Amino acid sequence: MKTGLYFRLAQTGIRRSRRTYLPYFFTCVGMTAMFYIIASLASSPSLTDMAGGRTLSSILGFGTFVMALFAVIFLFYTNSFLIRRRKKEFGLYNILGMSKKHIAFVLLWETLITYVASLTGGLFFGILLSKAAELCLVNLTRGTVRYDLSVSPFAISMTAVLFGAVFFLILLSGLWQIRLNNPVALLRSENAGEKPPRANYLLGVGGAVLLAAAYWMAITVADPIQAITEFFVAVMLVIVATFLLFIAGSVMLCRLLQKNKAYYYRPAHFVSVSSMAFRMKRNGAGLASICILATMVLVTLTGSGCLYFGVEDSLRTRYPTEFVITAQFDGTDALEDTESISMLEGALDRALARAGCEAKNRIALHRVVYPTLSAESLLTGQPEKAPTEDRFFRLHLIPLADYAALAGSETLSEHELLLYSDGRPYPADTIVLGGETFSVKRVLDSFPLAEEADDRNPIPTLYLVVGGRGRCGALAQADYLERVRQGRADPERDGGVNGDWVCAFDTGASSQTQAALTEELRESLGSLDDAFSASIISRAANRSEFLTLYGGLFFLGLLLSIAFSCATVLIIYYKQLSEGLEDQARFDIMKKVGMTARDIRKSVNSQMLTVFFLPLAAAVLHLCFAFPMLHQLLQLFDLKNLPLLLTTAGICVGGFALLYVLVYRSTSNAYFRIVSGAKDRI
Amino acid sequence: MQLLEVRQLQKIYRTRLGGQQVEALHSVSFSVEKGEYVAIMGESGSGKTTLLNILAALDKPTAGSVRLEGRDLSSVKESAMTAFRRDNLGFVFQEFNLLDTFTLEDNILLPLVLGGRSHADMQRRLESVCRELGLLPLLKKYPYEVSGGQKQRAAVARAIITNPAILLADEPTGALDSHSTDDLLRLFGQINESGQTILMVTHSVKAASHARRVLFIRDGEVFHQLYRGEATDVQFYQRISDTLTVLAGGGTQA
Ligand SMILES: Nc1ncnc2c1ncn2[C@@H]1O[C@H](COP(=O)(O)OP(=O)(O)OP(=O)(O)O)[C@@H](O)[C@H]1O
Ligand SMILES: [Mg+2]
Repeated sequence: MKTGLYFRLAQTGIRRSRRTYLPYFFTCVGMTAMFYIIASLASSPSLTDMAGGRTLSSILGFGTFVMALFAVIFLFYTNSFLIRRRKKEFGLYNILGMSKKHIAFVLLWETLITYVASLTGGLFFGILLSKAAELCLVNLTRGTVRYDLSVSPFAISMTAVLFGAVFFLILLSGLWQIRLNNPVALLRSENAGEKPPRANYLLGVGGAVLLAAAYWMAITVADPIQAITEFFVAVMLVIVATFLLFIAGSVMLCRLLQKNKAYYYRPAHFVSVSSMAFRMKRNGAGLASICILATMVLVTLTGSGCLYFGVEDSLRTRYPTEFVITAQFDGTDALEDTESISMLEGALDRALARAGCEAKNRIALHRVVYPTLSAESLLTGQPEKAPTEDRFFRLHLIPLADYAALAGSETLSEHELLLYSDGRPYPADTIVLGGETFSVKRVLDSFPLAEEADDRNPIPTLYLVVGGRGRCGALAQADYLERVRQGRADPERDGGVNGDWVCAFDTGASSQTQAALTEELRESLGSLDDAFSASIISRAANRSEFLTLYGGLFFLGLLLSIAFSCATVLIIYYKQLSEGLEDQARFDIMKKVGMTARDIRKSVNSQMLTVFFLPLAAAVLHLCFAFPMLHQLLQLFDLKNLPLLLTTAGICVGGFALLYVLVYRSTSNAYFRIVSGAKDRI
Repeated sequence: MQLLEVRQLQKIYRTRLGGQQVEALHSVSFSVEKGEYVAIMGESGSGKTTLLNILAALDKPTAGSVRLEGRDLSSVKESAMTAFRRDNLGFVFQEFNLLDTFTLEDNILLPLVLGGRSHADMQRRLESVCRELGLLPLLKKYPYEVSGGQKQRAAVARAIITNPAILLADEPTGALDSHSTDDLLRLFGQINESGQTILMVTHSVKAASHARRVLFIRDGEVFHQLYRGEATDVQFYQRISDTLTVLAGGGTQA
């Protein structure tokens, strides 16, 4: 029964290296459970029923993808630690007369055992914890809770398939390693130290340049759109640069320290520096991975946490006033339709009265709105070129009387106007509308109701204040026609010129009253005639949608941060463990030559302190440079609260540093135990 | 005064499960004078390594005492033991025990570094020791880059760089080919000439024939000893191997 033999060999192999295998196994279980939780939530019917549940599902769907990707990379990474240690064993089998094919069978069994065990364990914990996770999610999004434990067959099969594929790949890479094996070389594989890379200097410079480029990108980012497009490039650059710099830096540090005789030849430094130099590249790469994972935790947690805790801020930015009512008329004649307006105001007053609240800070104005394609030149006053690289713009023409009623009296001559362009300066002093040239009398630095844009897309908008209502309408029509003629507008597709009446107000009422008022408004405005279509935007009505979105993101951020943190801990553990096992024999010798336990302790501490906190420091530095980008990205979610961002980041860094120190202490103790207790072998 | 005095050493190993006891040493007594070169011989399992470990204070005897320069080893406190060993004893092991993370130079300097010596002092001693041992061209190499004989030479350098009162060697030629063995034995002879006391445990008659005195251990006791006197290496070799034949034949004490 050969199969039985391979199975037993695989079993004993796992058992014998349990100290390295167990953490790997736990990682597999953890990853499986985490993946199942996200996947089952993404397809959970109780979530899709929630308000904004569809958004939530798609966020979690994205999370499933990230988690899967992470699981693949991370399991591969941890498995490589195992393989490195197992190679020796396989070499021995090989020398004892076991062919590579037979070793492959052992490996196959091993992988199969791990797969089945971790899938079982992972699904068990996943199903157990998925309800807790759901409660946590529902709580974050302030949804309503349903107390039923559900098992998602779909998520189970997805998990089984994904991890089946991962373990298959791991098996393949293991087989590949065996194929490359030269048993004799393997048996004494640990004896030659690593040589410094030939172009270490170049690596370092390359890393520094890439990092500088990434940092430069991050701090010069000017708007949210740019932040989106550049974010992933910057992330990639930072990852590569971190690896290069840590490897080159570790090599350079070792050399410098070894050259400094007065430092190197001290009891506390001698051993630690030399063993660092012995594995300088591996050391650098390990530290770089720790640094990158730490950065991922910090950025994810800071971003999603800030978003969630800033939800009121976002709501306020997005909806500066509690209620905005927009009545959109077809064409521009309606601008002078005072009858409709008074009808609207009447309906508004009735609704307010019925809901029992009062409008504060009520403002209203007329405007004419039309879209156009244009090059950036629309915002610079340069003559517009042929429509090649055009993007969407929107033009708002506002009658002087309406503007003056809100912002104070102002006079304009026939060919003069006031201009506002989202707070940016306008470089020219004329602008051409419908063939007429206007001189810009003044560039405004704020504009009433400009913030109440009625869609999320930040389309650049130019606000122009010109003469009377009639003049506004006529000018808009003329300019629009001109733009149609130039091929920059198309009445079939872009909706043409509209006249709007916009009214905004606060109530200061409770959210229930606000909800009631929304209903009343809907009713009384809906019953009006068809000369216009009215829309109501209420901050309160959007709150739950925001909470679902931001709560979902925060939940995902939390989950991923937990995964990343576990990965960090595990990598630190493996690093310490594998180095401890390697160093054990050396410390044995050194004890014979006259090293005391105190010397060992000192040496261990020296080594830890020299390198161990570097990744954390580098991660914090990365986070600092990521701030401008995060800040811009958060603006996409209408969050502009910089102090909140800083506070969240501070808390995240503090919490993570605490975790890091704890892990550092316990693993350095483990390392010390391994190297000082000679009997403590695997 | 004797440099090393060993009195009625007994060592009993207890197996972990309590039951069986192995008496590795029954009652070993001998002494070594300053500047001597002593070899200890005996069959495998006769307790040579055990004896050496006790002399090196790496292990404790069940009974009996060891005095080095008049000082009882059991009176040295546990905490001071490592430093005591580092300053007074030099070791050469069968399997070299060099650290693969260090160059030969750093390997040799290790005990001095652990002893907290100044770098200038280290360099001075390194110079003189390595010139004597012909190690100067090899100092910047790593252990995996040099031969077994060269490794053992480095181990010897590491052992004598602290100017130990006594150099203890356990099967120093065990892992060497005959050419390197000759080299090493010549080296031992040479450092003994310059005043270093050496105590060496060995299987090899050839190695023992280089010493001034040979102790034979059997059944946990010093069974017999031979002095070289005026004999040449070859003559001494003959006498040792004759003795071994008698020993193997279970003869009585001569
Ligand atoms: N740690 C130990 N526990 C129990 N018994 C031991 C231990 N170390 C040695 N022994 C026993 O003590 C006896 C002497 O062992 P020792 O290693 O001193 O012999 P040796 O003379 O060095 O042999 P060799 O020439 O083979 O190296 C042996 O019977 C051995 O089995
Ligand atoms: Mg022995």
